[in-house]
This record gives sequence, structure tokens and C-alpha cells, in this order.
Amino acid sequence: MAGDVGVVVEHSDGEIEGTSLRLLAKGRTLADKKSVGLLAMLVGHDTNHLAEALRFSGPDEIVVLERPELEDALPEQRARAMADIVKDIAPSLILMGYNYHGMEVGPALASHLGVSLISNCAEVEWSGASWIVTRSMYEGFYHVRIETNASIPFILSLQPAAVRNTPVRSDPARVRRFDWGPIHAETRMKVVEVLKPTMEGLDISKADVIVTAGRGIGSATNLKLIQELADALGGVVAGTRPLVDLGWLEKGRLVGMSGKTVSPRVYIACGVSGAAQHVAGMSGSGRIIAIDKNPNAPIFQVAHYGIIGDLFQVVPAVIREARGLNPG
Amino acid sequence: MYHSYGLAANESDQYALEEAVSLKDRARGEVTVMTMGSRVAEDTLYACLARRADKAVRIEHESIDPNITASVLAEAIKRRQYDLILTGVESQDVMAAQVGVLLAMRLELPFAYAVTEVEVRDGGGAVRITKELGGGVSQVIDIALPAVLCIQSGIRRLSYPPLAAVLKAKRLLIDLVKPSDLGFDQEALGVRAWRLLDAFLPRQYKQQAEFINGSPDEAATVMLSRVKEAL
Repeated sequence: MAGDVGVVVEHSDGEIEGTSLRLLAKGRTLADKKSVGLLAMLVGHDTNHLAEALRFSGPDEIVVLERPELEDALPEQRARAMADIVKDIAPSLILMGYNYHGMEVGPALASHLGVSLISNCAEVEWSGASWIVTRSMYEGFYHVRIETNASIPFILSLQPAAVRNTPVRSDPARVRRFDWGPIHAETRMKVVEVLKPTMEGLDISKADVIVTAGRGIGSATNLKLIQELADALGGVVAGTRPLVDLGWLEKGRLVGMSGKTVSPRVYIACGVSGAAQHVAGMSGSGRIIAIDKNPNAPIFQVAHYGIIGDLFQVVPAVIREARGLNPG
Repeated sequence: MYHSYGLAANESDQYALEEAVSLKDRARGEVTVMTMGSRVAEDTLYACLARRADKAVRIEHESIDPNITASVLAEAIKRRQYDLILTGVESQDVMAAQVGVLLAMRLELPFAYAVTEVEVRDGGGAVRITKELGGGVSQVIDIALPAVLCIQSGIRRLSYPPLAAVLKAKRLLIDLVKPSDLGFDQEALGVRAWRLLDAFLPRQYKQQAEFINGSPDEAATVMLSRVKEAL
């Protein structure tokens, strides 16, 4: 129905992505506040069990576009299929995750619909008359709050760590099959293969303690300090994307959207500014302690404890303390 | 993005330029860098020319709306011939991560986002690319040209030009294009589906970490207790 909230459901390898379940819970809150319905939109192949998995996750209705051709569909084709559903149900707000899927399907969907995508959002609320959206700018060091034109539908992508709601139990949703016309085949692109990371070697996601270095570490040689801290605490070393790009750490130690998602009992971030793509990979950690010299670093919004200081003074002090060497 | 004294090229886009220059070496061709910005942005274009871009184009307009940026760039690109259009994946200032894909949609070209490898094939008629899907998973795709590729950071090491190249670049001409040359009027460039209410530091908006104060030794003692409590 016009005015409803819609959620683009992500799935891969026969499973619904956790982000989508949390977006449905968020969507439920927003739809209730606005007194409208919540719809889940699902495109793909072999989607019966996926639709079943969503029935108690918050939506009033699940709209499914099921076609064999959509099995390995590329983002533009998925966006085109999703656009047809959206044109049919005409929601006023469409929610997606700000992740690889959202960064590719999102703008393509926005283009097919001729609407704006407001991306990289930390929060969205219904004011009673319009949607108030908070999004990140300037490497996450600033937030801006914007008000949408309520008469124009738009798409919104939320940072994964911003959506923490647990999936809701509600009345079971109706499932509606959406009929789609002839599929437009994409002849200019062809998937050759999918490469999955090898399972052998280090798996940082098994560690109870992870000590992560960010750009603040300054050089590859300084990483030995981080290794010493990890050793003193019985943990493993991890890093943020810039360190892996520079070749200072191997890919298996990357925490974030493009690497591993971890939730150790203790996560210590040293010189990590807290970019959304990194936070997406560690916000579920038990206890997060951040050390950085910039009090405005976004990491301090996700950390439980923070130390504003020079990591080259604080980290050696923690190492000494852990080895029982501190004077007091 | 804004620096203290001027503008610096967006880091993500620097990786796109590095890949473009590498492709120029591997497949023979010409690299044009294009930006939408004020005159201050010309410094970043000279820096690109020093890093072996061959031509530079500046479109005189500024916007934080990715739809407008993509529309303007698309019109400028349509008036020229390119086999490959490379962009970054996210700007450091607006952080929307949309322009590359929006641009491809407006140009009706195939695209791939978060590309980590590009290989030219079919005598320059296609590319085989590797792109990230997240969580360490990648996909290899063959794409017929022309196409838009949004290049992921870290695709190769960034190179830094020698001073001689920097000085030489300053003597090159930057092609200046006005939005009116592209058929845009002021109204078309100002359309927005939203308005800015305010801007603030995250700590003014959300619950923050509990800070541990004191000297490094004092903070270390408290920090270690917090670690032990959680284990």
C-alpha cells in the first residue's frame, strides 16, 4: 500500500542475511510509529524456504519474485527485479543495508525508480510528518541530520552496526508471489567463478581476545608492539583495511565488511578511527576498549571503554601491567 | 575532500587513477581525469597529471548530492569517447558510495563495484575483473566494454611522482566545462529530495564510551581490570 515501509531482503547461499532480519525489526518499529504496513521484498531463485524464514520476523507481507534466471543474477538485474516490486507496492521508504550489496544494488534500484538513495545512515526516525535521517560524513567524524520531502519516496541504507534490534516475533506474514514479465538478459557481463577464502591457516574469529591496529600505528615495524600486547593477553592481532592495503598485515587478519566479522569477549582497538566498514565487523564484541589520541574518533561511539591518549605510551603500559611489572 | 590549505584527491579515487595508469601501460591507451569542482580542485588534477594521467577535465560545479554529481559527470562523459570509466568506491567527505554506480546507470553501461583486479582481454574489447562481495568472498566477471568499474582501495600500491613530473604537469592545460555547456540550468542542479537540518559531532548525539583517565600507567591498570572482568 502506498506509504508503507519496505525492506530489501538480502540472501546468499540459501540463507537470509542477518542484516536483513535486523532491518525488518527496525522497519517494524518505524512502520508502527507511522501506522503503516511493513513489507519484505525478496527476489531470487529457490526462495520458498527463505520466505518461510521471514514470516515471524516483523513484516505484514512478504512479496516474492521467484525466477530461475535470478539465481546468480548480477546487481543490476536484481535491482531491476526489485524495482518492479517497488513500483507495484509503492512504499514511501525502502530500507537496505549499507554494505557491499547495498552499495551496488542500492544506486541501481534508485536509478530504475528515479528516486534518491540516502546512504550510510546511522539512524532514521519518523517525526510525524517526515523522515529524519542521520548520516555520516567526513570519515565518520561528523554526522548530519536531514529531513526528507515526505511526498517523495526514497531509499535509505543503514550502517550494519546501527541496526541492533533483535528479530521480532509477530503474527505470521502473508506471502505473495509477484509475477514478472520476460527477463531482460544481461549479455554484457558473465560471472566466471566465485572465489571463497581458504579455510586453512589462522582464523581470528575463534580468539577470545583480539587486538586490532589501525592507521594510528604509523608503520609496519610498530606492529610488533601490538603483537606484544596480544601475546601478553593471550589474544591475536588483527588490522583495519588501510593496513592490509599497505601490505602490513595479511588479509586473514582483516576485521570489517571486506574481511572477518568477529565477536570476541574482548576487542581492543589501537589507533583505529572507527570507520563504519570496520565497525560492521566488530560491533558485536563482548567488551570493546579503544585507545586513540583523537577524542572525536567515531570508534568511541561503539567502544564500551575509551582511553584518549598516545597508544605508544598506553600500550607499553598495558603490556607491563599484564606482565605484573607496573609499579602501581 | 577538505584539507587545511586546499583540496586533496579522494583516496579511493587515487587507487582508480593508479589502476588507470597501470592499464595504460599494459594495454596502451590514454588516461583522462575528470572532476566536478571549483577552481581549488585544479590542484588535485595537476597532481593526477603528475601521476601520468594524460588529460584533465574540470566541470565547474559543486554538490554533495550524488545524483547531481552523477548526472553532470554522465553528460560530460557522453560527449567524449572512453572504453573504461574508473571511479573510487566512496568519497571521504560525503561518504555516499553512489556516484560510480549511478554514473553507470545514467550511461547505461555494465558496471562492477569494489574491483580488485582488472585484466584486458579480447584485444581491448572486454575486461576480466575480480570484485569483492564482502566477508573475504570474491567474484570473477567478464565484462564487455565500454564499462564502469568502481575500484577498491588497495588494488595496487599508490605511486608518488618525482618533483620533475609535478613541475611538468603544471604546464599542462585543464579542460574547463561549464554545466550550461552540458545542458544544465541552475534549477536542474538544485533539485533535492531532502534538506539539511544540522551537522554535529557524533559524541553530541550518541552515548559514548566510558573514558578511563589518568597517566598511561594508571589507565593501563584500570584497562587491564576491565579486560579481566570480561574473560
